[in-house]
Amino acid sequence: MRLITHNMLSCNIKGVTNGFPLKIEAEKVIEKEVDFNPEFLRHMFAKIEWKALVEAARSLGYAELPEDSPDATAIESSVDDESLLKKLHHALLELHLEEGALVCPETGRKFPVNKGIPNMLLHEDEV
Amino acid sequence: MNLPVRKVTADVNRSQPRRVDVNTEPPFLTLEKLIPQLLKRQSTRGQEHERYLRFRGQSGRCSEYVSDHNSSRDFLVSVFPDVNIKPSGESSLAASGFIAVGLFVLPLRNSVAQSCRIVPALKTLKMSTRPELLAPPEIFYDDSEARKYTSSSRIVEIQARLSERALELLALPEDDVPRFLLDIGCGSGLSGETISENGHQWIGLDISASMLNVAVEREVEGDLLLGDMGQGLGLRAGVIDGAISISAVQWLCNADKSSHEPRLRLKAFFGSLYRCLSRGARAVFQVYPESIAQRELILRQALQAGFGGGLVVDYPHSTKKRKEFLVLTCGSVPTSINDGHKGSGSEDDDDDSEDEDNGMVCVSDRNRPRKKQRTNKKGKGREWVLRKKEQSRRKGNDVPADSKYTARKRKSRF
Ligand SMILES: C[S@@+](CC[C@H](N)C(=O)[O-])C[C@H]1O[C@@H](n2cnc3c(N)ncnc32)[C@H](O)[C@@H]1O
Repeated sequence: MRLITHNMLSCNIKGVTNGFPLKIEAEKVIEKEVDFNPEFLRHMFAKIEWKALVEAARSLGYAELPEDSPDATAIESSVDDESLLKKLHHALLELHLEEGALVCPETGRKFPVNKGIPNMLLHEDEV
Repeated sequence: MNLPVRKVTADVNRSQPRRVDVNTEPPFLTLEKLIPQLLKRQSTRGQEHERYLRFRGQSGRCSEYVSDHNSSRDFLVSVFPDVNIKPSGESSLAASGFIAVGLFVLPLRNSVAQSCRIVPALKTLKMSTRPELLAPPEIFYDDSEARKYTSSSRIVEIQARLSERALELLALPEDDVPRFLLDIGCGSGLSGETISENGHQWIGLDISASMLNVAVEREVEGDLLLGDMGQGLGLRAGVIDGAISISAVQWLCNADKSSHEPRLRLKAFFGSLYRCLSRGARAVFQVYPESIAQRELILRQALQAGFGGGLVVDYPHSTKKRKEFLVLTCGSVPTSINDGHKGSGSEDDDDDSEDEDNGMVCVSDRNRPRKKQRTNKKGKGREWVLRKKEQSRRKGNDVPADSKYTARKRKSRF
């Protein structure tokens, strides 16, 4: 699972009001190179929860993202700031959580991640 | 092992016969040979049968889970045609309208290992041509089914064609910007591959670990989640640009566990999907509804969740090629106008069924955003049509020749 997906995922156990962001417990992280597409990054930027991304990237061992969210204009016109987009690209699309777990911030429920696939199946009493 | 065989003529309830499609040919000996160890394990406990029969009334599947709350164990219960294993179950079965008789209850200790044995047997018996009537999805799509799925060039081709069509109906802006899409019931990733080929990013959700494992092996580009769409999607609001789903949603119409209620699961699914889609986004589902009632149920739950849209049927007159797509739009236009159903509150609101219960409808428009949108748009223009036709030709489809009439303007009253 890549962080672009992690940034969209939230815990939907019945009764949980704030299931985002899921905390990452990483056991194995892998990197896969992906074609750089600035258009896509600009498109996604507005949807990204920056703080959660920074935190998540750090838990996968990548600490290059700026702490504060860059403002949208910086992203829009980032010809001169290609490096920022490159970092965003790497964090969102190239890092994979391969083994580990996602933890609900409210209940502490763990969702195991095996072979890169988070198991988000809920128990019957969680629906 | 000597099993008593007795054929029962079921007194099929005339108003709504709930029949399992059975192949009445030689199931009996084959079954015994295939899974003798399972046959030895038949439970003779009437209790489970009772519960099963009651449960069965709402689902209509040949095999499913039943939880025994007293012992908190799950059972997989199956009905076999013409195999009369437990005489006491017989009369109630017949009364419930099944022509299939014979019942067997299997305690599930290690559900996966055991299902590996039972599902192939069910498939051999050809009890139904509809997979969703054979077993729950995570049982039906086991390792061997998953492998079969991607190694059959026929299935691969059909899935690719359906996915291509679904993407087309998704009508994403043609600006070369990749979008972030959802593939619901992504299985082994065949549909996802079509999304990747079209340059988009995706998340795939599926309930079958075996199918997802094949997707991993095939190194699909999307991210995979093991999850049950009937439990709702755990995704943030407004982040997804569109969703497709190929041959998966009809699975939600069956109750796989005693706790399952199809209507509520559809509701949870469509509600959460509506939330996570960005405004104006679409969701396209290719579905194989089993009946008109099932199609209605799906559509009604979608509209109640707030979606606009309707059904698109390709090849409506061909039984073989006929394909149904549910095309849903996520609130781009206020839906309050013309919308008598919204806010009526009652879940069991049956109003919707009136306008299209004859099953012959080719495109059912619901006087909802889709229609509006169509008149708003200026039309795609000749160039666009020619390009699409060319694309389609390249795929080897039968496309009418271009002429001066191609993409001409219609009279406004057309
Ligand atoms: C006919 S297959 C389609 C596979 C996929 N679209 C492809 O092209 O490879 C249907 C899939 O729906 C999945 N499915 C059925 N019920 C589901 C549910 N409740 N939640 C998630 N996936 C489900 C099944 O596991 C199966 O993989």
